[in-house]
Amino acid sequence: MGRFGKIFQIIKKFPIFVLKFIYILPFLLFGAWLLNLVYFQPELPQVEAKLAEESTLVIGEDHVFKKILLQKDAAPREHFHLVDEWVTRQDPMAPVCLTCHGTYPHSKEEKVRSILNFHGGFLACSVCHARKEAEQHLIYFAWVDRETGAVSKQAKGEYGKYPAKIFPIQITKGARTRIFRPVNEEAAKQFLTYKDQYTPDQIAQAKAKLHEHISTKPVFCSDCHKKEGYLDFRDLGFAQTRIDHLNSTEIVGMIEKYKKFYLPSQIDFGLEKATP
Amino acid sequence: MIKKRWFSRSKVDAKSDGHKYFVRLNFNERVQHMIFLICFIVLAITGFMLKLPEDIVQKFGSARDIVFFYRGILHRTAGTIMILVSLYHVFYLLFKKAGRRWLLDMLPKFKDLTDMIGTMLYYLRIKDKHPEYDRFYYKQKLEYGALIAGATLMSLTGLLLWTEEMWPKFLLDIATIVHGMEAILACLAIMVWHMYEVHLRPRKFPIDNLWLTGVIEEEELREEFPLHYKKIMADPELKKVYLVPEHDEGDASLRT
Amino acid sequence: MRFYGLLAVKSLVLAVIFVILQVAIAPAQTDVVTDTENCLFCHRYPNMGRYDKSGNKRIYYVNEKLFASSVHGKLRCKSCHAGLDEIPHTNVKKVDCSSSCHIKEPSTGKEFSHANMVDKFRASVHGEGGGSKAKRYPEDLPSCKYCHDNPMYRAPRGVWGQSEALINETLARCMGCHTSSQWAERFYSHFTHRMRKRRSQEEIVALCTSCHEDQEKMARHGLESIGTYKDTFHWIQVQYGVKDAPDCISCHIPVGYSAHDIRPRTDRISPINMDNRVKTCSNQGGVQSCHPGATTQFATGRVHAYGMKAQLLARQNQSDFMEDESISLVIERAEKDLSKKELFHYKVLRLVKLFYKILIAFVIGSMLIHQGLDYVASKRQIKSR
Repeated sequence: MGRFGKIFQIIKKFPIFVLKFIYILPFLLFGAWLLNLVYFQPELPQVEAKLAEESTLVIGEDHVFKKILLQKDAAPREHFHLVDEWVTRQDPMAPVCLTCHGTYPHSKEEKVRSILNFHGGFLACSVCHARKEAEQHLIYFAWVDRETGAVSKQAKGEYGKYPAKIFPIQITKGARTRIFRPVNEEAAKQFLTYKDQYTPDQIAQAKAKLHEHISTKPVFCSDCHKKEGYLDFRDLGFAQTRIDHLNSTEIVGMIEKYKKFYLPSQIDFGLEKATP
Repeated sequence: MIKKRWFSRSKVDAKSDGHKYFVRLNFNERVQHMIFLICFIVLAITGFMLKLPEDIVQKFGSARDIVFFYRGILHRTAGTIMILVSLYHVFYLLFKKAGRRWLLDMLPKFKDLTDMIGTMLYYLRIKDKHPEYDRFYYKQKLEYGALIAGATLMSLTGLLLWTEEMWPKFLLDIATIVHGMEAILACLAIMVWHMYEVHLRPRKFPIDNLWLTGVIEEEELREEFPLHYKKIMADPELKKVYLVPEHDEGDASLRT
Repeated sequence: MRFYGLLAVKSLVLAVIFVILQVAIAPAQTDVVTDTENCLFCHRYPNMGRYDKSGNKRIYYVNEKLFASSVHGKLRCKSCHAGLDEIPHTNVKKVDCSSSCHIKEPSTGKEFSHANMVDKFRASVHGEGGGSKAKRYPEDLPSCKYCHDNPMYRAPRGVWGQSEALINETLARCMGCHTSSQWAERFYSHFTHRMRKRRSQEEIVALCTSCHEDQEKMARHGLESIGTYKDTFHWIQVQYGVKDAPDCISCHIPVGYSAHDIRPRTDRISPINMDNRVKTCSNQGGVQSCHPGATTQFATGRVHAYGMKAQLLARQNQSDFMEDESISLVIERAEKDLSKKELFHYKVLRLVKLFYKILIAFVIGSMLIHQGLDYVASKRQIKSR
């Protein structure tokens, strides 16, 4: 015997321990589950627990915010019309702006907000909201695939249902294509991580900095919806009939009409309202 | 010799190794045990399926209604068979010679109480040796009693729930709770009390072959049930019943 | 004067544009939808929508194909969205399901309307109630849309397990005279839709529990959460997807009752009123009879588990809760709803449970100790040899 003998003995015994353990384990788990059934089932409803927490049931308006939190689907419960994958889809290439501003970022101009919002389905925010900056840089516009991020100049799909979104693309020396982003994605994420620690003042400061490169005068409807407009529809791969449609009297006429109601105001990004 | 325990103790072994063997369970009892055992497992599985968490139920997929259908059928079938076996057991206890002997040996006696105390003292190292047990000692008697009580309760409540329309809902509610709780108690007791006894106890792992062979070695009997052993050795009648004759052609345990 | 002139010009411009919109772009529309108003000109764009002032997400996008194959697919937008004749839509009225639309109801020849259903609904437990019975938190109550989405006409499929071949045969017979297959299928679906449940049992339970499981919401109305249903064998069957398993409507709206007319259980016409229980449980007139031999004793028993109401009533010192508005509301209702007998039953069941809890703890606990000691002793015995 000696040390090696002892070790040998332990090794010899080892498989039996393992066997025993494997053998017992399912029974242990089953037993634990049974005990859980008897002793750890929540009694519905837990009046006692409520009493202990000294919390009363929520009465009044508070539950509206809980309801918003609990709403997980893309379409709200009481939305009547059937929605399709265009409403429920995930958009991995969406601009970082939507993290704060939501799917429907336009809210101020009552009469056109919904129409502006649907443009968000196929235009990146930066197409319209970084006009000045874009003019400084060498950029062109192209389709960026929602899933893969592949850049192309072909318009697939119709009526807002495109597999890609139009982004401004920076012209660089190399072969690499770079999406022009007036709001740095990393900076925006950093802002979001610090947001809860900031004081109201600091939030306002950070917001100002974050939106530094956003044009105060965005591109307007009539800038694009006309011949030789801000966007070159032909270059973006639209068919001639569609281009005619986009520049047609109906759309242009509607815009003309809106002009009477809607004179684009300067955008201030709520800086004045930053203090909560 | 201990190594041999790991394997089935067949007749060949009994003849060749020259040891004496004693009958613990005769063939009839082993069959009863086997049927009861299978029914118990089927009942436990099909019964506790009702308590599965929702996400696990969903894993059955589209076949889950079929699963549920066969669950119900199996549960009732197994329950019926278990009731029949239990009824047969009562018949066996009353009208068979071996059964009557079983019943007499199983009846609680004052000695069981002293045995229990003695065993506790032995466990606590106050005594060096455990008391001399007879054919059935207090642990087995308790288990047997629990089995009878449990089977009766489960059968009654099960039958109530089976014929639910005939009874007041309140009675059914009680029956539901009793059926469920008793099932949990039974499963836990079987695992802690019985399965430990025949599987996990030192030198019994992985399984005591007694349930299949029905016989016990002389040395083991002398050690575990000394009083029983002494009684057999002292009485030629009992010897005829319990001792497996050497060089016997047939299975001794078949004779009752 | 100048103001009126401007208004006139404005209206003229509006009118002209609207006419242009309606006429000029008509060829651009798809042929599946009766979109004579050309609403899809804008509303076909997926991201059309906004957030409203009450914090709701409003989706203004309409998938024309889905809508066309839905139950309301034959209606023009303005049939429901009445009075929308301006762009931008500044004069939007809420859709009123009880208004009559320009479709003729064939049996009377009058204009069709859901008013019957809406009236019933208003008088039911889900209605707002009026006068002294007005509900305190009307915003919690479901609207039509809460339960009714705009369902698709599904491809005609089995009614109570009928085979596909039979349906095709029937349809072929219809189409002997009614040659448009689209029309025939729609008509057939319209009928068969009412001969079977459209939603699965799980969907029904999910729909009802989406409100009734919310403990806080229920307590605001003096109700208890429907977790009590999930303690029944009925729910287990639903979970396992058993065909004909009883969901909420199987007992609360059995054959002969209307989903729009759910009454409290104290109401004599409620299917769960004690007087109607035997009929409900046996459901003799229904397609499937669940407990055909149900006796009064069986049927009048408690179906759901005892919940918050029984718990509160069984407490000795209810005054603990009196400060809590909603809980005292629940107690108030519980005193009306729970009979003394039921409360006694609850207490007995609780005692039985408690007895078993103690028994199991005692028995299994002492067994564990015993076997532990036995294990140590056996090991010791083996070593000593």
